[in-house]
Amino acid sequence: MSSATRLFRRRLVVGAVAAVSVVVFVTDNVLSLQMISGRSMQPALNPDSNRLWRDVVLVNRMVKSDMTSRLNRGDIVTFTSPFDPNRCIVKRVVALPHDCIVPLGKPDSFVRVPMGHFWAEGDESFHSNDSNSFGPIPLALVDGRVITPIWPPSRFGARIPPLPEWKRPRIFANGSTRLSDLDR
Amino acid sequence: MSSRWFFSRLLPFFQDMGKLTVLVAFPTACFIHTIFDYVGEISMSMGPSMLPTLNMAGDILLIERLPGWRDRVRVGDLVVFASPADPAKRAIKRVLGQPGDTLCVDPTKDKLAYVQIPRGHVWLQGDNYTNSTDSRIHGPIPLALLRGRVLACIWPSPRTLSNNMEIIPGHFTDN
Repeated sequence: MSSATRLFRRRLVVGAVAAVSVVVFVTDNVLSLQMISGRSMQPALNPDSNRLWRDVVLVNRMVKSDMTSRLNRGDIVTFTSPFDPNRCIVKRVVALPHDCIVPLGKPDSFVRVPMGHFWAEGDESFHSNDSNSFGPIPLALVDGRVITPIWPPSRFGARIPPLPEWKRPRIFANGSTRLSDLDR
Repeated sequence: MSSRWFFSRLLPFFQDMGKLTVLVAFPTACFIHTIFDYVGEISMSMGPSMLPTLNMAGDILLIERLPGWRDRVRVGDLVVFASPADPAKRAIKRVLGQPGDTLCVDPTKDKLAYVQIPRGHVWLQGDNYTNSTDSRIHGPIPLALLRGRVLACIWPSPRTLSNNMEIIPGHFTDN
């Protein structure tokens, strides 16, 4: 083997390792794609469950560096399931630390979201397994914030609707003011 | 000082620096980061909660993160986890319970409470029970919050920190 071939092979290996590590770093910490399965976020994501396709969304992974200040009520986030470390769940942030919330189906009770946790709910509450069944979720489980759907082409750049209006009276910002009163 | 000097000397220098950053420095940083995330890490720990196993003033530890390490976590292992109360904080504790186990929350209390560890959770406690913020306060901790398994102490007293848990034969084990 000539030295030119050896040099070429070495450059190929180094280049491949560099490319793979850059891709892994970017998809872990900057920006990644994720496929949405299930109907818990209808109509924001996967709006038509009769079709065969699923939405593929762009996920901003930079929120991981400072979750306490970069998440807002109404953001759609992906997080690891507290019950299965290999499963990823997509839900909407409904309440942040120190907020109070009235859980769905229990109109007489109150939950105060503890420090470092958030309250996640699917928009389609009847098909959603969320904080109403397993309680507040640690912010450290958040993987990223959904930016926009990019696939199928008809859904490219579709606007993500805000927090459903009927949920707002249930949320008390910082435990005192109703979110729906805060807007006025 | 003329613009000719800038274009002949300074601009090539900046171009070289730019190439070096994009083609060498950034991929190298990414490579190191990826190794930290998927192989292991050397990191510093501090605090009183793991006395006498770890120093209060600080230990340099070897942390394993090879694929599938979460499935290999057993009772008695030391693990790093992100605090449920503050996502920016990390801590080291010992695994005392796995999914399905039933254990006593705090044996020193007058009223004993028992808890069954749910699916996908572990029970973590520091070795220094009198000064440790752990599962007795946070409750069972999701496996997904674990950030690595401690293998060894590198400095100041090099030794492996492998699981040396012994199950004492008694009425809990022989049914």
